[in-house]
Amino acid sequence: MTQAAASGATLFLPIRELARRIRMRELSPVALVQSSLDRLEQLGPRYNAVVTMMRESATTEALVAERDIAAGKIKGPLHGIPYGAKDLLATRHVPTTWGAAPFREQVFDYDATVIERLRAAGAILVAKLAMVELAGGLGYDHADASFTGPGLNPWNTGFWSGGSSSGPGAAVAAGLVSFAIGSETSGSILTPSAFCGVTGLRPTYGRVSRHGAMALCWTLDKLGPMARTADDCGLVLAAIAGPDPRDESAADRKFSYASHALPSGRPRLAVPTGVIEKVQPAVRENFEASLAVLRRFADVTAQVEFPDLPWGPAVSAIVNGEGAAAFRELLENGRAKELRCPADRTGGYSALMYPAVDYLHAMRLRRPMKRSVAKLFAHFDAIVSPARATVSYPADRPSMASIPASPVVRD
Amino acid sequence: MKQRYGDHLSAADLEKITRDLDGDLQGIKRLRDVKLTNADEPDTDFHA
Repeated sequence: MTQAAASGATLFLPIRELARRIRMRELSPVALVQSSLDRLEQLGPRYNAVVTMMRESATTEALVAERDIAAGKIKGPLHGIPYGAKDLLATRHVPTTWGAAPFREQVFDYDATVIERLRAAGAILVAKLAMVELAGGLGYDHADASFTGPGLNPWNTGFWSGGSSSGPGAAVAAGLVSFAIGSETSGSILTPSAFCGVTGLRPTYGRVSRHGAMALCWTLDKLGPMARTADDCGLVLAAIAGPDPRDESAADRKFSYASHALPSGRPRLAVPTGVIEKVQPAVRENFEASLAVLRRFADVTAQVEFPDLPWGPAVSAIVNGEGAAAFRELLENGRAKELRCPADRTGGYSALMYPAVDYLHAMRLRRPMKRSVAKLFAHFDAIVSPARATVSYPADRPSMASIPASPVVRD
Repeated sequence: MKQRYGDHLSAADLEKITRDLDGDLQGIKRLRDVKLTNADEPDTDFHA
């Protein structure tokens, strides 16, 4: 197996192709991991994408992977593939900062389930990646909302990489890692994926164990892959999904992925009313081009009425109630003042006063909301919409208030 | 708010928090506009 340095271009290849080259001994996991580490060190600071480098452990794991693969012990398509994890996933004896100054020195003595599962699949953690402080749970309104600085977009460093999984978005887009793990409570995988032009997969709640992940909102937090292609995301999700006794919310259902497992007939896709009309022209142009591709193999129905329910306010109520509880101590002891974004320093206090009856009203609304969506899915296999109504915007812009969120669900 | 957390908050902070509370109330109004029955329970059962 050649240990010649893998070129930067190699890191832009999809996982399946990297796996093929590794399996065929055309590519050394040591060289691939080395290339990823070098790019993270050289280019990571340009995008404020990296919190902690994992050079030592990654190099050791790459050597073991190379030896095992040479002996024919191949664990699967992720064996020897370098990845980054949003810095809200616990990693044993390595700082896990949650992107927030008050937690810069925080160290856990265990690995998150997702980290364990990726290690078991042979993937190699090369860096803990930057994020918006506390995953944006205290109401940030500016890209500069992390002690590592604003996440900058590899396509144009004057623009934001999106949040709260800012580092994963930038690191995947810039070819610093082959894939990354992000988290989403309300838009934190899809937004940086859209802004950075990578593929994000926000799994259904419960599909992936949250054990070892920072809790912002226990009933809405999800972990998922950010990668170069949908196929890559499928491969990663297959490695991290599944039941976990350490997380009761992890669904007791196995998940397997095969790229050829497409529906036998033409999929029925719904385009909700308003998603084309209410977006920036550049987003509309891209979306319509995507629809043209989808129409080649799917039945696309436009102007489908999405259930008229208060989706955004319900999410806000739930995040307010659960987020304030999760960070109550930080707010009560005054250490929220150490956060980077001024809006985060005060944003949690109003949530501390959020009425319990209104939190519960939102939780009670979830059943009729689920029923209304289930009714829609009786007629369609999937809903298609732009992830965001706008492209990214300048990273020094003082407020995100005027930026519309998803055209379907304003959160 | 001032009584509980006044030590950590300036007058400007309290003003900002008041605006946040106003925003929360607007969202709450939209939530309350959807009427629920006594039988509508909080959802805690999610399936992947």
